[in-house]
Amino acid sequence: MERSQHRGTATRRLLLGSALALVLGTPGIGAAADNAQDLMRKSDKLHRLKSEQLHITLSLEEQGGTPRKLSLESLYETDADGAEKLRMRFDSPADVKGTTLLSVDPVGEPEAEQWLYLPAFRKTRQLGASDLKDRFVNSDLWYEDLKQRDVDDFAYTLTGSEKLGGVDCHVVEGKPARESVAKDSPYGKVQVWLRKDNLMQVRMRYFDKQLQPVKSLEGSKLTKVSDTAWRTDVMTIVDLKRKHRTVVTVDSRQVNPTLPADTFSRHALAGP
Amino acid sequence: MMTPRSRVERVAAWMVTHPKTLLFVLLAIIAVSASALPRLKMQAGFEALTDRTLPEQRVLDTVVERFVGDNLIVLAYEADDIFSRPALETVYGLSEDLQGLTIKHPDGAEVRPVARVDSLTHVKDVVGADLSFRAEPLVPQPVPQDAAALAHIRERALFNPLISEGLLSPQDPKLAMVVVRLIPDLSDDDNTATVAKVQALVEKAKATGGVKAFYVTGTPTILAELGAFMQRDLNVFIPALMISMFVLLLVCLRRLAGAVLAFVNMMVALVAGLAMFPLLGRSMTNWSVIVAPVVLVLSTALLIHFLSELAHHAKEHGGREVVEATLAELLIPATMCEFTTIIGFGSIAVSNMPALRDFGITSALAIVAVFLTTMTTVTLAALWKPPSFWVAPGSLGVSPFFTKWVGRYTAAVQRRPLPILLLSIVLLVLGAAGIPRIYTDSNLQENLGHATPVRAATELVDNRLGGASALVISLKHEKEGHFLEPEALQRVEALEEFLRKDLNAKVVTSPADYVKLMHRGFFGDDPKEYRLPETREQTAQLLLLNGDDSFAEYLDPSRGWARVVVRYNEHSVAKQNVIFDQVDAYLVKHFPASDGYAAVATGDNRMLVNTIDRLVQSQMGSLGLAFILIFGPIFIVLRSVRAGLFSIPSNIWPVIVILGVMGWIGVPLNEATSMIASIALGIVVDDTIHFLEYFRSRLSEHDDRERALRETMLVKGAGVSISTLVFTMGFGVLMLSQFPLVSWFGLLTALAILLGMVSEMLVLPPLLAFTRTRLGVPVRTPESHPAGDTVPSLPGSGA
Repeated sequence: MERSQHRGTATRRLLLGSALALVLGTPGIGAAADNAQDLMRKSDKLHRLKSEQLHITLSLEEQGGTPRKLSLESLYETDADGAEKLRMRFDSPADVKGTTLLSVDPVGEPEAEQWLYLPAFRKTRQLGASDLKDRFVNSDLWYEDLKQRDVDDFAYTLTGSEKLGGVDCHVVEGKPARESVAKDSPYGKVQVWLRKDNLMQVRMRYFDKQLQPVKSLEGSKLTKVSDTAWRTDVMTIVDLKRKHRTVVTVDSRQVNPTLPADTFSRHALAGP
Repeated sequence: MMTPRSRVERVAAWMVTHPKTLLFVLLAIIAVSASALPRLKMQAGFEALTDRTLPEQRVLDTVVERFVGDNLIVLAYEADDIFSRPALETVYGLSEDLQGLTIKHPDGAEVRPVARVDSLTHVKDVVGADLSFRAEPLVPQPVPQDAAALAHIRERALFNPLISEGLLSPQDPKLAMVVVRLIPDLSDDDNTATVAKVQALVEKAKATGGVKAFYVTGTPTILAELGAFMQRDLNVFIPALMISMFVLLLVCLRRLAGAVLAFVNMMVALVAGLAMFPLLGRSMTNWSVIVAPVVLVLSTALLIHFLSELAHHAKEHGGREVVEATLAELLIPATMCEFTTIIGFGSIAVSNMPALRDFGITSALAIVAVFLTTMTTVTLAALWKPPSFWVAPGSLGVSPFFTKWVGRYTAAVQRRPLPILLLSIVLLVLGAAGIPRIYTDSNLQENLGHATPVRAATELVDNRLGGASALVISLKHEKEGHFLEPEALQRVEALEEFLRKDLNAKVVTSPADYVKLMHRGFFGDDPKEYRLPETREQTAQLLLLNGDDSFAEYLDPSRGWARVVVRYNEHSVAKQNVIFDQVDAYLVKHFPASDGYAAVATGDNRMLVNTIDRLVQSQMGSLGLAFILIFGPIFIVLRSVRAGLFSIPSNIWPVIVILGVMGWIGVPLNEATSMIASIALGIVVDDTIHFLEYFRSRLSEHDDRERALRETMLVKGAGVSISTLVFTMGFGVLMLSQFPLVSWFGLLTALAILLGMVSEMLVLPPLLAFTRTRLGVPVRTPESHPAGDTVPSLPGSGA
């Protein structure tokens, strides 16, 4: 059964590998007659993948400081029941090598189960629901950015059109559509630049609950990874208040790999 | 019309024959000043107090840029139960309002001055259980209703040292606080607006009834309060002084017109003097508020001199000649007097504190403006109406009582000058003996008026919430990731231990505390696990769990630069310097450069303390400069080295004695009292100039040294008395200030001026009599003064 679910931001799509079909030149895609909500649903559907294996480097850059790099392997899968599973294992720097995060988001559950294995302690701990404004591994990615959200959690409106890098984009604005989302999400508003040709989200602007700009995200090095899905291999997230930025670079990608059955089990957290 | 002989007489003649030009000049000054005055701004902020070019300031700026500033508003609050639902809901609502606080500029731009709010409802706790770990808000939303849940919140708060130390009182369970961090580099106007809005939000929160009382303090609040003091001071000084001067002149001149002239003159001088601030692009600070009474007093003193000379010359001349003769007599000594006063204030400009530098320059130029406006105003008035219109004949003369007293004293001086001289030396030595007792100190809390809410709030935070003063220790290592090493964190932990035990610091926060908290949480909140990890890997991996921004205030993302914050309850500059010295010594020993560290104790508070120290040193240095700049020209104007030398003792005497008095009564040298010597010197020297100049002029008239001394004592003695009274009242009104620094400054400066009068009587006349000096005036010969020359008689002298 197909799940019509918004995979959150381009960030989550990159990290979790959800796939949507890209139909270049297909009539109807990005046509003026589509409203913003439809466009976002289509974008979500086009770029979804069943599974994805990535090697990623996060570069955490402080203004005036030396960048700090973390590299990790990310595995994502949507299983037969529709549960989304994610495993991220850090492989550098040496002091965090082997640290592994496991996230399992079953259908119908309000929150994902998250487990963290710290090799230095040889222990696994279940993480409680994080404040969605907390930073993921001290980067500019917030836990909100990694959270699975339904497309209809946000109400989108088309605000215009703009060219980015010579390519026409829809400019879409989204605000929390449900009270629970308005309460939990640290964002009061998001702006999304959606390429008209492939409905790929290539730029985002995030606003806090007082509608002040807090972050921006720029995707570049677009790569077609399947018949329909595209990915941005480099993503730059800038914290506008902290003057800090995170550059997420995909070093390698495997689309729809065959993963061992226990890849997303707790006992496999400690690794081989 | 008199035949002009000297340059001064030519200037006097020009002034008298060009009243329209004078009027034009006066009106132009008034017009320019009046148009500038609406732009006069008050500034009570840090910028006025700190020198941003100093290396240590740049170090602090770097730390602030990398981490956060320590510009905090502290809201202490009291409730019967701070963990009750009403109290927590009140604090939650207030914290939310504070986070969303905005201030609007006149151009419509909005500023959000609050960077962060920490309170019981806006802080995270780290909670560990057997197999789980989470960082979650201490107080869930909505605030729980049941007693068990609220008790659990209390238990968690007390279990978390970062919360219990940072937000709760160790002595009083009914006290807690909300800490509001403002964005760095907030302008003074925005600071004042922010404080006003915070106080409004506090009032709104109080009205909910969940909390009994709020106490608002912190540097931004203190600065806003100082700004309000300034405004209140001005509202008191100016009317008080103008009324008292008016009454004084009414009594002295015995003419309402004269008193009104003085009033008008004061208004004009005030406008012209204060306009110097906006014209020079400067703002008025807590120190430069002194300029207002100074210009009022100087304009009045100059007016009294002018009218006194006018009345004197009216006996011998008529019509315009009276004014011309007065100007010819007065221009040089008046110019010299204003010049020395300008130097006295202007020497303050050597200060490295921007507020005092500006004060020195602006007040010096204000005095120039006062001189110009007063000379033109009274000249025009004298040309318009005869002297008797402005001053009753004989009113500024000497009374029979004064004549008799001065006569006796002068006779005693001339008969036995040595004992009187010795007496003055004994008093000088007694005074000087107090100088070694002088110490430098300023107490930032004492600068707040007694019984003000801010003072009470600061004392409460000092005594029951860990202290309102903060020191920031920056520990930078050359290697990235250094503070992941157990050894490095152990050094930080040892530093905390030292700060708590040896320096009695109440609240210390460092990255080590966060790491220990996370370690304990990871191990299921086992109290034994509130310790540092054993390996670098353990620390690095634990820190991956932390997503809260507050940790970034203590360890930068590279993990090579740590920040430790110490709160303490000391406000005395001297005592804080002792603390800083101890911390510096510890850092040199335990975080040496040889181990790759660049460790420094800094913070806004330390910058202020350092600035005040340097300021006091430079002010005392400026005294030497003032001495050279004041006495140098006196030698030139008196046209005699001998006369110049004689001007020194009677002016050094009050400066040494006032400094000695400060030492004896325990008044420290601080940012205000260190200015007294320079300013007093610039003022007291005026009378000496008048005295010596008059003595020499009388001596050259009749060649009788004793008679010249007697006449000078009588005429100039009266003048000294009146001008001393004017200056003493002028500076004395500063004692009404709500800003203790200004109040002490007023008292001591008034006393210094009184001592100046004492020395004019006690030092100079005996010195002149004892040495039998002619101050360079040549002996009269029959050729230089043919027989038949009449010697004018002295009014009231009977001669």
